[in-house]
Order: sequence, then C-alpha cells, then structure tokens
Amino acid sequence: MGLLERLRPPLDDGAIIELYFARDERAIDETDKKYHKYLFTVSYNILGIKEDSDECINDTYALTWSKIPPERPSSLKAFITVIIRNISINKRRTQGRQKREQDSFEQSFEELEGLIGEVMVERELEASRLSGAINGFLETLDKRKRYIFISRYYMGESIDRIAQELSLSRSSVNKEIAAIKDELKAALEKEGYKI
Amino acid sequence: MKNEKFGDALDHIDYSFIEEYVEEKERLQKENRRKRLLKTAAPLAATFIVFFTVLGIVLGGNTVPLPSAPGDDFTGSMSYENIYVFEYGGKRYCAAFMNLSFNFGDKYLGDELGEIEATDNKGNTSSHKIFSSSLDTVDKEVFIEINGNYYPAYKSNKK
Repeated sequence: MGLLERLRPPLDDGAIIELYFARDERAIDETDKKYHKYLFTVSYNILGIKEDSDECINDTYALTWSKIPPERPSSLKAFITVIIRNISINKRRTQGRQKREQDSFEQSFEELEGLIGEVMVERELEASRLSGAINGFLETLDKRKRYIFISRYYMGESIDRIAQELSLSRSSVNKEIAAIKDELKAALEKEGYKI
Repeated sequence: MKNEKFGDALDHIDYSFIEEYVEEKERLQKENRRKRLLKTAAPLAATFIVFFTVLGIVLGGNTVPLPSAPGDDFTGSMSYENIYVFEYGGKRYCAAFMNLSFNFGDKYLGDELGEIEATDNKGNTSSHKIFSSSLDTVDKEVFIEINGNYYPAYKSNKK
C-alpha cells in the first residue's frame, strides 16, 4: 500500500457494504483499514493471545464476505463486532483453560459466578430461556448501565478500560457493576431462577 | 459450568443492544479525544497568548508607525507580516498580523465591539472589526479581524 493510499481516509460503512455487494475484494481491504485495530482489541479482550486474535480477524473477514450479501447490515461495525466476538468466544471454548497474556474476559465471568443456581435442564434450552431473561433485564436498564453491562460481560472489557471511557474512577465503575448485578439477581429470581 | 451457561445466554443478546453499544462507544471515544485535545491545546493557547501579550507590550512602546517587522531576528515557523496599531476606548492596542497556517483567534472571540481604523507599520490605514476575548486567562485584551482571520491585540504601554 502506497503512502498516499495509507493517508486516504477510510471509506464510510455504506460504501464498504456496496463493495461487498459488488463482490469487490477491496471490501475486505477497506474493512481491514478501518476496523483492524478495533477488531483486534475485541478479540484480544476475549482470547488474550495475539496470534489467535489475528487468526480470528482473518476468519471474521471471511465470514463477513460470505454473509454480505445477502445481508445488508445497518451498522457494519456492529455486524463485525458480533462476528468477531462469536468467533473468538468459540475459539476460547475449544481451547479450554490456557495460559493467556491477559484475561479480563475470565475475570468478567467470575464476577457473575454464583448468580445462577444449578438448574438441571438441557443446555441449549436453558441458554435460550436465560438469554430471554437477560434481554428482558437489559431493556429495563438505562443506557449507561446497559453500556457497562455489554462492555463488561459481552465484550469482556477491563474495569480500567470502562472507567477510562466513561471518565469515571475504577471504584465508581465497580459500584455500578455491583448495582447491575443486584438488579440482575432480582430479575432472574423473578424469572424463577434459584440464586 | 455456571459461567458457560451465562456465556451461552450472552451469545444471544439482542442485536439492537450491540448496535447501541457500538454507537455509544464511538460517541464516547470522540468525546474523550476532544477532551484530550482541549487539555493539550488550552495551555498551549494560553502560553501563546501570554508570549504575544509580552511581545505586544514591548513592541507597543515603540513609535508609530512601527519600524519594520522584527521577523529578521525571529526564529521559528512564524514571521510577522505587519504590526497593526489602533486605539479603542481611549487605549492604544497593538496586534501582530502573523503568517500562520491556522486561524488562531476565532475560537476565543467574545462580543463584537465595533469597527476601528488601524495603521499598519507601513503607514497604511484600514478598517477592521474588533471583538472582546472569551478567554478567562486574558484580561482586557481584544481580538482584531485582519483579512478574515482574528488576532489578539495587546494594550500598548505607550499613551
């Protein structure tokens, strides 16, 4: 890539999506140019291993290429966020417990430990019911709390990172997270979960 | 196992929440970038203004029209093209018309105070709008419009 090409501002998402629809491989270059750093951060938060995160980025581009068309996402960034998050999570699950360079994702899950009692039902069915309850709970949160919940538990972002983004102290974020957990606990109990 | 159950459930979070998260993240990042920039730019602007205030006070003491621009012994990327001297509210002000690549003053303009006749260092007169300063750090200074740009003008110590 020449210097001028590197200096050119990235295309807007609409133009990139049109490239996907035209089956023009520049779509992937443009996605990479605009979102590589972001995608790496998302994947690295989950996997904590640089090489694996790079691999997930390539898989994300391949999957995005196969999904658009026919899909036409209203937000390309949200679309690839879900893809790389799921690819990275699946990779993490297949790897099991492995030593990672950082592991804010595991820490985020440990925070939720104890919220769900051992309900002996078929796993898929249980996940579907639980996700319905979580979606219902998220609806009740205000935008800021929802942002914190998604950042911490869906994206596995560190407390420090969330505090920095929201211009808050670490302890303020911890307090908000504790309040969210209390609300989640109450919501799940209402749905019949044993806490 | 408890974690896995939660993990599976989170995989199915409503897509609209992810769209909202991505949008909010971009907004926060933009806002934080702006805050960082202001944090860096404000002291820089204040230093810049103090420097030229002092320079203006020193230069303002000279006779009018001022001698040729002091660009000869000024090192750096700025050079003076003209020094403007004018009177407003019974006080004499001095403004340096600088060859800068950015428009320095427009962010700090207060109210339009009126229009004045100014004399440049070559003896030419022209009319210019003057504005008060919105910056708390600069007291009793004004901005002068020259060729569509705005420059701080400093009180001369010569009556």
